[in-house]
Amino acid sequence: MSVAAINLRKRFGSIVAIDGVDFSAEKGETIALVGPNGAGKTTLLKLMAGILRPDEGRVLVNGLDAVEAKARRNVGFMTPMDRGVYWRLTAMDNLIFFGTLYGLSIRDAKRRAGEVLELMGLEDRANHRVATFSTGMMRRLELARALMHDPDVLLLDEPTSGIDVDGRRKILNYIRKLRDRLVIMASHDPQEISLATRVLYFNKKIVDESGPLKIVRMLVKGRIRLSGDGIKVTKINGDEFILEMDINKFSDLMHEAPNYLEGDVLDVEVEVASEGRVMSRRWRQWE
Amino acid sequence: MGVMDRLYSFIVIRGFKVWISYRTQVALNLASWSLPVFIYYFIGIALGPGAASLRGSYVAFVTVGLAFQGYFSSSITTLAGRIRNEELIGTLEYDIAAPLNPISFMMYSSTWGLAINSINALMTLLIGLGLGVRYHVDWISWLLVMLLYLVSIIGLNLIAGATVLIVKQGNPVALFASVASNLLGGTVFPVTVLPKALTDISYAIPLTWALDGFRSSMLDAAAPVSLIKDLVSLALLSVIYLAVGVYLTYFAFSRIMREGSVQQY
Ligand SMILES: Nc1ncnc2c1ncn2[C@@H]1O[C@H](COP(=O)(O)OP(=O)(O)OP(=O)(O)O)[C@@H](O)[C@H]1O
Ligand SMILES: [Mg+2]
Repeated sequence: MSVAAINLRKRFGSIVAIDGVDFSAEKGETIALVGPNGAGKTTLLKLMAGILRPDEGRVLVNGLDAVEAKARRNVGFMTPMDRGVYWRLTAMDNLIFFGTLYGLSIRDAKRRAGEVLELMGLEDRANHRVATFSTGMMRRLELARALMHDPDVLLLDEPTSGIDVDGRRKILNYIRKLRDRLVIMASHDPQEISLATRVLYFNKKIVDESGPLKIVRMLVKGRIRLSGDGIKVTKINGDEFILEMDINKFSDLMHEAPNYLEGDVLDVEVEVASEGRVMSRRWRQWE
Repeated sequence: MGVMDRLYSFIVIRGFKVWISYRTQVALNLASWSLPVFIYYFIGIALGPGAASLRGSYVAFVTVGLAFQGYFSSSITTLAGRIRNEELIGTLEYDIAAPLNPISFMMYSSTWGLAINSINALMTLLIGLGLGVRYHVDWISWLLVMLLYLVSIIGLNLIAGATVLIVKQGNPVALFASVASNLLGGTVFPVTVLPKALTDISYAIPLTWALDGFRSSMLDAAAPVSLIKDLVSLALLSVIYLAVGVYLTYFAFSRIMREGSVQQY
């Protein structure tokens, strides 16, 4: 399972949206596309989803051209658009409809819809019309739809924007567990980006790619366990500590760091260095 | 496999459940199906015995005409209207993201129009029965006419759906369908009373042949051999309509997927 873009170019009239993208990604990766508004992130995801045709170059999904119907079978796609579902139908009916489009039987679609609705915390509203949903609920439903056919490749456009803290944590936890898939998401959100095994800085083309990351400073307020290899802990005062450690992947930040943190961690501020670039991240709610 | 489930999805969920959620529209639909039968019934009475030369009775002539013209006129607006609407709303983008090719997607989409117009047809025929129409049906003939007619309707659906995706505003094909079914197709009067030029045009419309075939097979129990002219013409037009429809659909979808206008306002 893989996605590859070869010399991809796309323009809309005079606007160049994608200006020569070459890249490939494999099963097991979670890729974050990061870049300014209008950088072409959504456009790139649509090209990979096969709903937009490139002017030049091509996208291959599992070796098949993305525009072929067959290539789309294993792809789940969502954009943060609250009108991508049928407002007149219930959440359940929406999911069954889209499930059968992906080849599920009615019965399987119903069962799977139950699962993904539960995952998205929408089980109570399964039989309510989408028109009665809040923005965040709509977003959850769109994510649920992308997961209906349990795709190998997930193309997510700002997947948790507009979703509340608890919902976001649950959804990101789920995405994190999709280690046997390929997830590509466009994001402006530190928490989403922190799931990535690779970060692509994108502006019409891939400007930069995150190499191995290094945490230079991690300010922790709360109780911590003073153990672990390759970690340097400095107590500043009271419940404030500075942790220094090497990590290889952005995702390790989420995976490794919790090993050193326990109990009521109040606040975490992190500075991440990658090839000369220093970014700061701050999580108020550390899990 | 899969086909029945998708048909259920397209007809019951995306078709029926959305339709029924617009209460007023449902009421209007039901009224617009039944009223014309009564109107033409009274026109027939007003015209007196002269009109009765048509297939035994004018009511019978009109009932069969109205029952089956619905597929032609309104299934087009049903599909094209929905497709355009979904393009604006944004759901079309997700329909397209599914692993269905555009032709299958549009064909599945047209099933709801066919289903709802079958209800229309049945209702109209039953009202006709109540107004004294007596049916003498040759089922094989009827089935042949119906099958060929449906192929042409699917072709026309594809043409209409593709056209709204291309022109984006209004629906020129709906106008064509409306003129064709009300004026040229022989729904409420025989095409032979039209001026020669218009009669000739009417022969290029599948509805004309289909209605003739339906009337013969449902009112006179005509055997398939006696309908050979209707059937051959209908088959020929069906193939043409379908071919044009398939071509236009590919064209329309490749265009919206190039322009990225799938959800443009
Ligand atoms: N269908 C379209 N027609 C015309 N221009 C388009 C279309 N879709 C995108 N664009 C243009 O292409 C460029 C890239 O847009 P895109 O939506 O991919 O950016 P993005 O990186 O997703 O931005 P954001 O962070 O705001 O979501 C923008 O300049 C946008 O105006
Ligand atoms: Mg975007």
